[in-house]
Amino acid sequence: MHAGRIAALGSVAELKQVFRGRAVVEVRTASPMAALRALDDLPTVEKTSPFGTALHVWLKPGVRDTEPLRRRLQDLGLAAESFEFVQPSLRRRVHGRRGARGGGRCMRKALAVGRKEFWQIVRDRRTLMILLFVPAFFLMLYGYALNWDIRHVRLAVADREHTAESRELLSSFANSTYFDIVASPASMEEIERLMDRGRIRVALVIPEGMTRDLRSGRHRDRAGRHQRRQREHGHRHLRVRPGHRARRVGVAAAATGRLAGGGAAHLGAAAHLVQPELQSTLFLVPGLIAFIVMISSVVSTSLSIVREKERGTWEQVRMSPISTPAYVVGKTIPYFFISLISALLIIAASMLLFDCRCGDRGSCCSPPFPCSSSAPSARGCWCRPWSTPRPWRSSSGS
Amino acid sequence: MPAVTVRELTRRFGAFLAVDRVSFDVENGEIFGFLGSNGAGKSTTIRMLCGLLKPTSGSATVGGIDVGRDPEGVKRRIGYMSQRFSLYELLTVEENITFFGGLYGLDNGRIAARRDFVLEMAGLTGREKTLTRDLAGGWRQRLALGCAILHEPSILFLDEPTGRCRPRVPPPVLAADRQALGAGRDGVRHDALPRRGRALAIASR
Repeated sequence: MHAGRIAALGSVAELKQVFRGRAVVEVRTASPMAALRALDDLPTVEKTSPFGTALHVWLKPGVRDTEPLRRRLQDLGLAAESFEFVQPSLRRRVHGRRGARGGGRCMRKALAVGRKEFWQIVRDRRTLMILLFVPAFFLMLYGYALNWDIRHVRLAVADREHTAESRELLSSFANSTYFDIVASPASMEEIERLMDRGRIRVALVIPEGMTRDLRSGRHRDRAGRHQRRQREHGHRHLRVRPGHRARRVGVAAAATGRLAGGGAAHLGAAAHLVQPELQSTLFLVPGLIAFIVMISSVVSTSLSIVREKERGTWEQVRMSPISTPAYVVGKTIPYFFISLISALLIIAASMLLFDCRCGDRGSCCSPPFPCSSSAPSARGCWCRPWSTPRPWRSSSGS
Repeated sequence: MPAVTVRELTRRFGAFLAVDRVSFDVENGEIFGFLGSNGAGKSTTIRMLCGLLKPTSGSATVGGIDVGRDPEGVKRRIGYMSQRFSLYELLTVEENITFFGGLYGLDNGRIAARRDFVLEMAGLTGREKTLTRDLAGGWRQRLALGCAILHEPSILFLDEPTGRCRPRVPPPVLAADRQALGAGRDGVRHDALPRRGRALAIASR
């Protein structure tokens, strides 16, 4: 095809037959470009094309006479050094018809840039180390230094039930590392006062009749209402006023409560079906991979172009007939593969250091990590529920 | 028709006038030397002729192509060797040749043929696997020259090709220049005044 139209159609053998009758004359002259223009409009010439320092002239079918060419050049004062019939390969013929703007040629140029960039990176050990291992180092740094897990929240409990179930619920709060029980207020007024003074951040009130409600199944209605609210608001239902102080404490902090008896018995619902341990470090991993692919593919490519400018090699590249997209694509190819290797190293490091599971439900590293360049932020955005949320069930109700 | 035609070519950088209404012709087969002191505007003129810089005013044609209108067309037809060493030091001699061959869109067979020619012309046969950074200045320049003529351009621009060589120019560099320029090409080159002798040794005008 040429310029959107079929230039020749058929098998290799057929195409050779098509071109068999055409004579191609290689003309050597001191000024090939001027000769090209002079011969192009001759009636016996089908087309002309530069060939190195010479010129290839395609004569029309059946024409073998080179005298008109010679005369035209003599008239213009362009003495030809030689006229010689040549048999270019089919490849050359097709390329000759296709012109210099073939997509294959563009791809070849991009691959040449990619190969060059690969050789350079491999030989520049320092850059290679930075690209491969610094991301894993960042994971360690962030994993150990950055942590937004909530722990040791000052909690007040008001147990108005005083049953085995309520005490079991309270002990589950006391035994967790998330809460420190610091007060046992007798009334709501006292809770308000403690909260206003900043002594407590959360209060848990176990109302009278909770055990009865659990056993009769009435809590399910409340749990259902709570889940609906949760889906609407997208977060745990815990009303707070500015300053992170709980205003209403009716169902507060029920997420971690479990009752004895083997079954799960909860007052509320939590939708953390991915990574239920809620380790913030593990949420870093997918975001970090996205960040690294971004750094490797985009920033490293940009920096390598800047380095070329500093070293003076850029000028020679600019002088070559390569398009900007082909050059950028060629530059990006090796960095893309390096970023994949780097992502694998991060996953391995996170599995080794932080017990990050990969591939199963609740994993922090989902398989499509190569697509991480499109991940918008480091918020664990690949972590999606792999099943529908289930309400907590009472052991007695089941 | 001359290979290079320059008419009233002017280039300004802000208030600074780098090239002021330059006019000249370079005939086919001519080796044209460009002499002048530092900052005289030689490199700027060459960069405009190569399509790297846009002229402020005036016109120039290289190989019959208007530089202002079709700089990419000019690039396809010329060879250019920068005054700075512009090859990749972390690549071997062979890899540099392969890379620039690919950049000019040559196919593998053509690259192989031209590689042999360049290695022989530059006297680097047997040193194909040597890293370019390990080559001496003169050898580097010869390799750069070889890479500039890989695609067999009809017009060759050399911007201080011996600028990074020691004061006594190695004869092979000049020989390589002559060999490259003498193969039916039109050459435009310049050298700084202290190296006038080198330019005169090559240029025919």
